[in-house]
Amino acid sequence: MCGSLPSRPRRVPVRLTCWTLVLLASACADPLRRFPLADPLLEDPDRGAVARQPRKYYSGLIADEADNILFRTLSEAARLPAPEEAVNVNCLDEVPNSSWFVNRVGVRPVSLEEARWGSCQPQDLLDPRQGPWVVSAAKPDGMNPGFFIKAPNGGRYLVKFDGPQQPQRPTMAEVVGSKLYHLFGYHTPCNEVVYFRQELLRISPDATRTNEYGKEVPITQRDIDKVLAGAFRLKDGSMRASVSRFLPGTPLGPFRYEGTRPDDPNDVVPHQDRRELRGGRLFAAWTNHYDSREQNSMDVWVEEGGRRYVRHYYLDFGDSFSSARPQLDSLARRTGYSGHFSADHVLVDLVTLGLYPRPWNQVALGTEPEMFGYFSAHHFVASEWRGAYPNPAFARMTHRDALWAVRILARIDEPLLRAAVSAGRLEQPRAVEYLVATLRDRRRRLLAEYLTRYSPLSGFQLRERDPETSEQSLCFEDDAIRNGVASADTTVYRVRAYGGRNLDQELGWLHFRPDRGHPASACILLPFGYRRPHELAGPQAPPDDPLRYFVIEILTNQQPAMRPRASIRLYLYDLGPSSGFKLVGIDRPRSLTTAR
Amino acid sequence: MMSPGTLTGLLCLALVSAQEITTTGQPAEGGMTRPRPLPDYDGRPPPGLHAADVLLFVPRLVLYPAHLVLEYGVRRPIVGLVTITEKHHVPERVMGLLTFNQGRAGVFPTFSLRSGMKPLVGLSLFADSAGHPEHDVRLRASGWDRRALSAAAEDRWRVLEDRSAVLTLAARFRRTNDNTFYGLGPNTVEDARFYYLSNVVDGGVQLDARLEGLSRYRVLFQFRSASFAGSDYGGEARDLERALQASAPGELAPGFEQGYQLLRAGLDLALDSRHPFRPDHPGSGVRLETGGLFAVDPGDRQRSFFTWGAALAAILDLTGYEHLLALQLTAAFTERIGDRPVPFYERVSLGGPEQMQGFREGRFRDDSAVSGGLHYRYPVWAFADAELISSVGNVLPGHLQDFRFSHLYWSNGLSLKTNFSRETAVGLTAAIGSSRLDAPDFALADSVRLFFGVGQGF
Repeated sequence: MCGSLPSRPRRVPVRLTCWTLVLLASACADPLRRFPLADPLLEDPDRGAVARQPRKYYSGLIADEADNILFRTLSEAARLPAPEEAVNVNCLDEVPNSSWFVNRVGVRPVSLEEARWGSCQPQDLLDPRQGPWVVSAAKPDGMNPGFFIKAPNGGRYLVKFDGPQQPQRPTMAEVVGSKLYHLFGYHTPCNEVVYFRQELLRISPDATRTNEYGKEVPITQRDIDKVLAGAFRLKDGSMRASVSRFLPGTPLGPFRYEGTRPDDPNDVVPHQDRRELRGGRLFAAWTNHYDSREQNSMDVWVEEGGRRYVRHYYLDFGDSFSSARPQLDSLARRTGYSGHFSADHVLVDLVTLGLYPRPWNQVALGTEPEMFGYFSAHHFVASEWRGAYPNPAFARMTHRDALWAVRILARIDEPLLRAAVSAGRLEQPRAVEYLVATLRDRRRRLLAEYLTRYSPLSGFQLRERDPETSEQSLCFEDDAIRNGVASADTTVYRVRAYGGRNLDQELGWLHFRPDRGHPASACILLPFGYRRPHELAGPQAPPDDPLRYFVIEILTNQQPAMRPRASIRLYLYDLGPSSGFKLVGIDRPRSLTTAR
Repeated sequence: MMSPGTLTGLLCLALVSAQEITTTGQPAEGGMTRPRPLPDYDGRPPPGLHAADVLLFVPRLVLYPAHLVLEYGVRRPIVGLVTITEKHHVPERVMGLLTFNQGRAGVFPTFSLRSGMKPLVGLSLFADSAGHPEHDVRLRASGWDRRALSAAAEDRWRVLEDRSAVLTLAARFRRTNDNTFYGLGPNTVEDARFYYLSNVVDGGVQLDARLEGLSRYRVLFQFRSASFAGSDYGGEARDLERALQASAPGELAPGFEQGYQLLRAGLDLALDSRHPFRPDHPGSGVRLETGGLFAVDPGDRQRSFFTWGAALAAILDLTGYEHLLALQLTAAFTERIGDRPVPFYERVSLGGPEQMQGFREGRFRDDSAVSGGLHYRYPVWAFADAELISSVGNVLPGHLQDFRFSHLYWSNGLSLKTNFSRETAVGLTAAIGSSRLDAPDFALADSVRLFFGVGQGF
């Protein structure tokens, strides 16, 4: 039909149209992408020995901000990128352990002790009674003043103080942030709050700082006094500081949130496509870590078991749990809601004469304004949270990346939260309670947003019911019910199984409600329905025969009066009555579509 | 049978595998030197061609050159350059070269661009706490050619116990040949524009002091010498009479041909009910600015006059978070005391950044001026507000003699301005000015102005 049109001048567009239609048809065909019969990849082999130490990378504060606000945004826009899923995701929709991330609270129980101490080992801790602390250099940049010291235990530390604004908050945030990020699974330094006396400090003869004209000059007592002037002090004169133990290894500068480090052979996944960096957006949103820029990260050249490779750390959480620069109210109000320059917000406000409803016009100071400013749970919408300026990895977060972060956050209960917050050593119990309550409420809002829009189910396991009969149950947890954002009384699970060569043959279905005895967890006895896939494939079929492959789709209906909004799909192989079932894949589609 | 999508996927897989084979770094004895293969994280074949990729193919092709230019012609060079300057502390080093005495003194090049006027380049020297902790010195000189020169010297002393007042001894000279004059009176037109050169020297002492909040006052004693001449700016030298399409230049612009000297003494007062800081203080309030200036020619006592006026603004914060609606009324008068007419340059005027922004500075001049404006200022950014300004006004002989609404001119503008202070702001303004409201061929945009600079907020 297309080729029969005679007019010559119209041939090119017609052919183009035909090709487009053909390509569209093939694209829309969406072939079945089977998960293989294999175990999930739990360890990313990205800690292989590297021959040469990568070069140090310098990241400019202004350059990075200008790039991400303007230049990268423009260049990316002209490329017309389409949303793509993260790369380093295994078949169970999880992130394997790597040089970037170690699964902790998301996959295993974490003790209160671990939540309190994070990455700190006993030998990392600095004894504030034992001196001298020899000052070797000044902290070059950042919002809070500080300097580097060498302690009697031989360790080197970065010591930071609160500064005159929001006493106790920056040092608390530095420490609590590191504990929470450790809990999430990131590599973080050992940060602790200490109270010490000024007499402990000695200035090294070769200690230098960069002055306001870019010159290296010796550090004087006057410089130290200037920094200490902003320190929070107790009545006995001791000063409060956060101390951060130097990371083991050679620092290589920050990691970028875009591209790869070209001289690191292990670094093959573009950083903007790493799930732990994309999903980090929700962790930053929860803690209001708006300064989650590349300068607050660090690559370190480490040696482990005779191998040398690059490990990637999150650093500097001192901006968290607050609003930016409280003395600039218009900026403080926007923290977490709008960036330093969000062109879309500026344009919309300009055109609508400022009448478009904005959360920053509604926010109010909390009950602890001197410490936390506008940091609160009111108006917090996690999916709309913004950092100080665009982050390439955060910008590419898909709902699957978000749900991965949500699964981790769903497992941080109040005892764990309190354990992490206790590391901040805030002097006033009211401030502690405010922080815990605010984080708890923000977490609840975050979970409610995602776990009522997408499937709230997680923790899938195949359990043997009876070793003699090899009967299996597929068990899972409902994070929405467990965290109180959905009611067990109204929740209904609708389960369907599909098999056949194209997964278009219904094998069975069942509906059930959560068990009142344990509403947040449920199990489905396998097999269920009319036929099991093993029978379709026949007894002689190899284990990975396509007919053994089937999908169980679970729709969670939290509001029976409404249609369920999303589902989760579990892909399994039926290896027969004796070998049972094997879970090989999990998919969390964005919306209700054909279960294939 | 495999679908086309499956085939595409297989092809992609083959390509990826081939690439992996060619780029895999063997973990040799000393470790890897080349990138490791990308792990097969989920074990599935890569996804096939997506519908969005097909639909976006042509637009991507069209925009690809733009992407290349933006990425390699703009982004990488600029970001790289800024990174290098940061890494090597270039701004700090430049600052170190230009300042001395621990940053309390220094010299800076200056450059200013003005729409429709000549740019100015020059040097500015400052010395804070010069010889005394409360003593500052400022020296500035700039110019473009011998017809555009400016120089100023200021000797400032912070006085009063709380250092809330500044006493300034100042001498300033300014020569510009791009001044415009449209004639005196209420019926001037854009086309009748006369460019002239001015030489103005001011010298004297003034005291600027703050009262409570945003209120302040200024006392001024000054000597002024002014002379004028025609200018060839704009490409055509025109006589005053020809430009204004009239005769008797002396009557058209008193003081133009002979110049004059003046002794001036004045007082300005601003009373403002608003709180100076924004947080937790809604912007509603009232601001009154008033003042008077007496001037006399020491060589000719018959040339003496008094200029006075007032501006009243009522500001309403509509929402409590700086959505400000303000009504502003201004009236100014020049009272002749001696027999000699008041020089045209000293008469009250409208136009410029402060009032009737759609017109050039000094666009309207005469014995009295009246204007009224409606402002709506609203936040658009953490650091800036937008402001819509619509105002009407004109100048008139005598005390608003024969005032009629239809004789007014209309100015409309939009400003983007900093919001750090309620009193002053740096901003960019685009504005248009109309022809007179009763003009038979009324034009809303008879004059178009774009300017950047520091202005007074309300």
